[in-house]
Amino acid sequence: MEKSDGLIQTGAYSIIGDRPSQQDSYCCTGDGNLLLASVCDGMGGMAGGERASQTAVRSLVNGIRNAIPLKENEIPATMRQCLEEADREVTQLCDASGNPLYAGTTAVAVMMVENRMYWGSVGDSRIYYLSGGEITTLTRMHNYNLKLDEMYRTGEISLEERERERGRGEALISFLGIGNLPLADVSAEPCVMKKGDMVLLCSDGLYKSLNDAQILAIVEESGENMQIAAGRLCNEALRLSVAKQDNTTVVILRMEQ
Amino acid sequence: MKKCMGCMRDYGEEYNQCPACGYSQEQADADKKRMPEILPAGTILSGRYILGRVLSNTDYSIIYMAWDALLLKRVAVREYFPVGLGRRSKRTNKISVQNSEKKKMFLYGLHAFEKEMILLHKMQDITGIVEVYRCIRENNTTYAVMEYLQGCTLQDRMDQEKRISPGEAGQIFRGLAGVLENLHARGICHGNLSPDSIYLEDTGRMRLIDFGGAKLQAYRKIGAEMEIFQTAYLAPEVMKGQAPEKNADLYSLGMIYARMLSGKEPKEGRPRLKSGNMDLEAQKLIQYLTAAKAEQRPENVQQLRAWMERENG
Repeated sequence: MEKSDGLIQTGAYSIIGDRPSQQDSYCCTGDGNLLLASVCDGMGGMAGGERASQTAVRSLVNGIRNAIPLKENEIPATMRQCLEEADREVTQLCDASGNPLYAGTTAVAVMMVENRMYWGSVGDSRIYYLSGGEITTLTRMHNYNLKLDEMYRTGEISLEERERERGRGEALISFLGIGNLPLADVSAEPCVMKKGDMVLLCSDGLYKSLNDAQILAIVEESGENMQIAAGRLCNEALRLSVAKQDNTTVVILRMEQ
Repeated sequence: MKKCMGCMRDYGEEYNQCPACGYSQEQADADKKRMPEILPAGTILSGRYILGRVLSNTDYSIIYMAWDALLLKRVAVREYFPVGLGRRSKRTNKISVQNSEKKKMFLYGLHAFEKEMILLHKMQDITGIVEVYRCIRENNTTYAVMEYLQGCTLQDRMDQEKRISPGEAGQIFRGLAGVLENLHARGICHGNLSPDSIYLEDTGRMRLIDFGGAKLQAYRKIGAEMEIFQTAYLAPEVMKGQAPEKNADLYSLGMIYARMLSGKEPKEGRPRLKSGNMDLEAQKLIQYLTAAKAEQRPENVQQLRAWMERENG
């Protein structure tokens, strides 16, 4: 999908990187005055991650569609319900012999009504907000580091204990497919987007290769064309990656009016 | 480690010159001595771009090779610097313009340059046009950061080789026609297509590197002070001051095609038709494109294609 209805311009791009399969999935779809964009980064052996992320995206799209007509003040609660439903559906995935897949996926999602943006996140994919030459991360990463930081803050563990545990820090503590979704962040209030503001959804392949300043520069240098921006972000992540490049997916929306 | 100002690769302190391209500090010093108006190699622009050797130095702008220290890649940086209007301070690198009349001209040209670079910036989705990433205001002038291309302009090439083979000339012709079609679809006429604004990459691709509109405006304003503009390829009505239409671009396309095949500059505003590698087919095509009256040329690229199909079966 490229330029949409003139109010919001969208761009999306995805690369497999150095991985044997593509386990990221995304969507960017409009229904009436509502726009839904989502990026899911699947995990799990064989085809597990792929199916998990596809199932999550499909579940989110169906969940939102079934909720229409939707009052705007119901969006945050609906977003949460949709994430919980997607968690149930991914948890129930089975292989050909009927055994549970034990696959999972992250999910970031954005819903837009005119210039008002709502978001939700589970796992460690990210949503960035780009406005007036600045970039801000809206999401936090639901990984063991988050738990360690909280435990340190409440005095449950010492600084030394926290640092000792950092090695396992990137392990996810919440994702779709974990069952009884323990942690999901949903924005309570909309973010009102001004002309030229952008919101960027991505899997961790992007931010593990590019820092915030690089992401901002690449987007700003793409001639206000979101399809070019999305493509360049993925390809620059691949070019600048130090280790093997993970699957990388970017969906980006820009307020045009 | 040192960074080579000739190719932007890193190399060890033990070398006196770059093992990859042979460029050295002595060469950089010699370049600066030969072209005192250029920024010295190693100048950092906007806290991000390390400027290296000069890729092109015309009386309208200077293009430097540069290293983008944020995105870790080579880029080209184009500096608006019309010679004769301003001077560079050795101490601050700033350009200053002495009298108020020249200042007016300098600023007029500066705005036109910026406008053109921003237009290019927003056209990065059109294949065949150089990618302009951003404009920077510094040193009392404007810089455009662009993708780095390896190759030379069509003009450079023809200066060296005189003629272009019919096969390659045809390829460049078709490439240009494609770019014009895309531009025209957006309601933009180039207005100043010339061998100077066509870049031939070593990879075989062709790119438009500027619109020439800014140069044209500056030329008109500044008049005889600068010879920065190739007028031989301009449609007669544009020369007279009319706004360019699509068929004015097709006129330039025909003149360039004739120049490539004949190996000779156009004479008194007419293409050379009877020399070099030109067959009857090419002659007819060039005559059609370069008709002095605009209404006798094809209106647009689609009409040109239809004509070519009819003529060539």
